Amino acid sequence: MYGGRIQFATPMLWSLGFLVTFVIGGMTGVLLAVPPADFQLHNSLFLVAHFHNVIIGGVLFAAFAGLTYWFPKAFGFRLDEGWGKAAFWLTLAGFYVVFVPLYATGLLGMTRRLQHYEVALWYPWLLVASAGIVIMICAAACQVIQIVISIRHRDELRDETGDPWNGRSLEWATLSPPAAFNFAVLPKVHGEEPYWEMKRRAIETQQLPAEPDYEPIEMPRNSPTGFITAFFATITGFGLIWQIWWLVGVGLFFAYATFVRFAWRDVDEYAIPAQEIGRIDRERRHVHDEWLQQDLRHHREPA
Amino acid sequence: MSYETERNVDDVGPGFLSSETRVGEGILGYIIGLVLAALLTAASFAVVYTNLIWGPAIPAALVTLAVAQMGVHLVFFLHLTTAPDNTNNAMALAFGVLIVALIIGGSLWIMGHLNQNMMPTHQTMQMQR
Amino acid sequence: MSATETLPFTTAPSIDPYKLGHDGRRRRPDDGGAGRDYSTGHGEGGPASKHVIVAYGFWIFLLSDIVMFSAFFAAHAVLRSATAGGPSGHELFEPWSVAIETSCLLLSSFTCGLSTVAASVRNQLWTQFSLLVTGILGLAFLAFEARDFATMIASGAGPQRSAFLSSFFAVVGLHGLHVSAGLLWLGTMMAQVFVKGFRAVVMRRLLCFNLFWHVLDIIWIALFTIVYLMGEGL
Repeated sequence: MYGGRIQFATPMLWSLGFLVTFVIGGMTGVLLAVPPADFQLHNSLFLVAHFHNVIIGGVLFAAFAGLTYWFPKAFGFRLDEGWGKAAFWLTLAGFYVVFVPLYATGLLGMTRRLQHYEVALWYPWLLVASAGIVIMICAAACQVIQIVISIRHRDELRDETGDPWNGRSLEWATLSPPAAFNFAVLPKVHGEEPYWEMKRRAIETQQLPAEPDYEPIEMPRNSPTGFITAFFATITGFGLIWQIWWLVGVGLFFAYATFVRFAWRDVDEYAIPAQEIGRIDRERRHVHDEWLQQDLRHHREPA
Repeated sequence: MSYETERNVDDVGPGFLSSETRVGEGILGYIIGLVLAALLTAASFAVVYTNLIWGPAIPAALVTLAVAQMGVHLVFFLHLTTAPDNTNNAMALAFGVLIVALIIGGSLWIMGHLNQNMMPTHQTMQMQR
Repeated sequence: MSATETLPFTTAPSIDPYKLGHDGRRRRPDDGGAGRDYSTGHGEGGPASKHVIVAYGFWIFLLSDIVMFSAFFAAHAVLRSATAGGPSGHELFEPWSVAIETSCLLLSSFTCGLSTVAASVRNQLWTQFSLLVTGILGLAFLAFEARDFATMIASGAGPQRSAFLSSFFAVVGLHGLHVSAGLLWLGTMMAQVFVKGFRAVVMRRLLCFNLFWHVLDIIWIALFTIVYLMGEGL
């Protein structure tokens, strides 16, 4: 990041939030790894604060970073930046306001899973934590509003070129959402940033590469088997837990039957003919060509 | 992208018989594997139920015989060799073996230390009351 | 990636539009673009055939299954002496039963291999016969194991008796469940070979089943050595 030109868009904010939060949570974990300290703090709110620190930082923030980054690729329109940034800052602040006081209460002896407590000393800390919860509720509301507003304004937020972030990896070379076959021909990859190379070369030569020879592509036929088998597997699991043996039998039987039916298919794939591939890819080339010409007119330099 | 759906005769993977193997050779390979595996199994049982091996060395002998028999299975039944075309499969196996060694060895090591260094549970439970 | 290198996106014969069978920098003989597949990872010849891809992928799945077994093994290894005043392995295990189970599984691995040979020459009768024998031996294995379990439970040495017994039933039971699932799969494969013949997709599935069955025997080697034979010594 040093010496680069970072755009602090929502996914980058979530990533930075992940880095900071996860590292801090990890460090409190190292504190807990000291046996005498752990003897005191095990199953206290110090532990609770620690694992929320790592999970919310490590899983949640990173998941939101990924979701906001790839949302345009999957759905064809970007998410609203303003509400995204609001959601991030409120989540970050709210998280620390909730969980840092819990480190304190843990050190003051509060244990997990208390139905009620009578220690006055803990009260101010828990009050602050409750305020933090309100902040996080607002943050969650911002996330929901972001999605609603983005859907409502999806035409203005449309990802026309398939490359909203000026990306470097191959997924950004497709349109958003990508065609069923992803790439019309297998891209040739020389280095670590293939799409960046493709863009650079297109700008240098001032044109897109020549149209490749299209071949028919074999695609797997869709099937609901996975979903249905998972449903019956869930039923089996439920029966095993509650010892409802007839339900276990039913779940296993239907899961197996669904699978056998899937295995009995005579046709596994369907071919998309070369003309169709060509037609779809020419649309992409047209979009990319227009984008390239526009960039050349504005003398865009690659970073 | 149209991939071949039929086997390319030079392709090798785990479990493949090379297409040049004749039926007789194929069956012979499996027979040799069976005989070797049976001998190693009999040897394992003999190690435990007779006095052929010095007592403290029995676990080592059993592990050696088991590893040898796994090797026999891998070579004769799974056709997993160190031939150059098999590199990927052997590498995957090596990684699997590493993880297994870490899990089993690590568990034994940690639990051994815990058993050695911690107070017995019935005493710690009494301290809780 | 210098700018003096030829542009990758040139038109070429349709089988290999981007000349994946050739590296632009190092000259290789031109074999018409079809490419020979070398599984050593240099990428010449493009993607491997479906047969290789399926086998490798299934092999990786089996390795993950072995890792799962190793977790159960680790639990048993650690809980070996936690008999809670109850019976130990030495008192419970019957060597003759273990020997029969081992022989059944080893022979079934052999017959499964024979079915591979038969399938490679497309012989329906011998494929079905060797698969059938594999299945019968597998059922025999399960029968003896079920008998063992029933005897142990009847004598009060069920999985609830002690941590040693819980871990024993867990690891041996997991293996038995795998064998049961394998037998179900075996029956399905016999039906598929009968109805659909030796088409490519059926051959791939037979290959996967083969791998699965052999790996189950490999796990049994570890099982009978560590659980039963070493359990005798304690």
